[in-house]
Amino acid sequence: MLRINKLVKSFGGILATDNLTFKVEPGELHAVIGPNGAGKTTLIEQITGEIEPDSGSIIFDGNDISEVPVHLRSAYGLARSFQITNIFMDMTVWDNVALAVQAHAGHSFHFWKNASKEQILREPAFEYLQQVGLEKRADDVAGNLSHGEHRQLEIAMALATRPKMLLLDEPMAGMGPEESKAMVEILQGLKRKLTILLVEHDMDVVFSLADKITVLVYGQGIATDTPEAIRQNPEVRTAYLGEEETVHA
Amino acid sequence: MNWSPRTAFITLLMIGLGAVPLIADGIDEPFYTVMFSRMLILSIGAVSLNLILGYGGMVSFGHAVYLGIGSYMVGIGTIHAIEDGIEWMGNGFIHFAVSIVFSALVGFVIGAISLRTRGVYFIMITLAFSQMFYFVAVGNEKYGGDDGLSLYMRSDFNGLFDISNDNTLYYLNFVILLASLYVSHRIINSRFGMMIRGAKSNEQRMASIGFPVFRYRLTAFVIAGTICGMAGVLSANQTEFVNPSVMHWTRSGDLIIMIVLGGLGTLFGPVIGAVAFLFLEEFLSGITEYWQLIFGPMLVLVVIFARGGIDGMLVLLDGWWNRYSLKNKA
Repeated sequence: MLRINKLVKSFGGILATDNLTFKVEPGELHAVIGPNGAGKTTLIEQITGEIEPDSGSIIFDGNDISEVPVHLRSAYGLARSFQITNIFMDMTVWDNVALAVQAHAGHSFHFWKNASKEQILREPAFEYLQQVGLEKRADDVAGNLSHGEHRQLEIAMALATRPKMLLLDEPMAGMGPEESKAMVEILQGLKRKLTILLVEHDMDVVFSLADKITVLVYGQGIATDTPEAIRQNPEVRTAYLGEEETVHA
Repeated sequence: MNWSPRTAFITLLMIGLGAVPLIADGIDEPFYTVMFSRMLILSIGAVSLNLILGYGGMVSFGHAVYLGIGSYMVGIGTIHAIEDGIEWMGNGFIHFAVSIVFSALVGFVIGAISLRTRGVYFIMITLAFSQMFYFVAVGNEKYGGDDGLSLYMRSDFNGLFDISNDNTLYYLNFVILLASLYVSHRIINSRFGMMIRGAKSNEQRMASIGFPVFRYRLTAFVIAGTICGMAGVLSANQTEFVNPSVMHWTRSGDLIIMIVLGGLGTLFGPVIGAVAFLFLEEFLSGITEYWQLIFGPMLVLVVIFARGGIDGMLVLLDGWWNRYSLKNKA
């Protein structure tokens, strides 16, 4: 589904992505972990096209998308949720998702018909809200939602673009335990329905959800394997897990 | 219909504007018809700018350029109609048509270049373009240069109606204002409008859910320009005089001030703002020649304390009204 091929990106001499190569199979939930500054968000942004890699290629669904602009990658079937909540704060929750549906319902050069009465946009939008459990807040202004609900909305919007693959950039960041649990359930529900690339700090979540894990340290992929194998991998333990544990202790 | 203070105010304002010529004739002060005519014309300009500024977040600082285009089409047309006897060049329908086409072209070129930038750069580039047109008009001696052109006739509408009558011109302005309000209303609630508003709210997200933002913004920019071009045609007919100052950058600034004063990104805000602006100008300049000295601080207060402008205050008033009427019911 997704192949990252010898990807390199540096910012003023610092290698944020250092000759990175890995592969995500269709239907897989693939997690990327790594300590702060390992280059996780830089990687996501290269996949979505917001940052251009220095060299290497990104093959998605058989197409080389390395040079494709952001809005067209969405048409290829890539969707992203943001690490920082990134929604239309002054619109209602329903409008937010309807707008994402609209983005993939042909062009938007319709100047006359009232979009908020178009069932062809509203109904699918409501279904995506149900999928993430936000249907009760459909008519609230998005800015008034809680942090956890913002993340749910992020995912509903990503789903509304009917992606083949979902890129989730720390969906649990800043969440309380209750909210995280709800989010894990949503992700469980999405698993196998589409390919997911998950960047996440919370180790419990990653090891309980992921089929495959890639460990990133200073931009380098030091291992890609199943959760069990990653747990046993001595290199990972010293480079990452060990360090994490002492921090938590 | 729920008669909140805001709905009542806006309804009264629009009915009041519709009745101005009748009242002015009644009290034998036709001057008021002329004064309010100006308000209507600048309202149309402000409504059009509000489409891109209020709803689209594009702070164009050169919107008066279209007022200039519309005005000069009438000025140049009527000159040739009278001096060279080319009758069709005095025709109002042709003035409108040519202004719309020319405004759209200019809007397309300015937009295609300036919309690639953001923030201060966008403001500066739109300003630079409008100044360019301003100086072209100043330098063009054939059509009056700095001194401008006096119109010896108003646009002729094939005898359908005769705008040499101030009241008829007033109602032409009024109808075009209502039409531009209705068109705005339809556009901002359409898919296109949702797209434009989304791009104001969060451009990065719009791209990531798959919208090619640029081409929609450019379209909005062109639409706003054409509507304002029509206001220019009306403006020249109203003042029977065209000079470069109609597209001076301060005129563009006035349009922005009207929108901010009335209520950014609301349907009637620009109309309220244009009326309030010209009222204050009239009233304050009666007190002192340096009326901006009083107007400036007032504007600062509005921006600081009433972010939604006058319309925002009406919304606040609605809130109080609702709570008050709820309490009375209980």
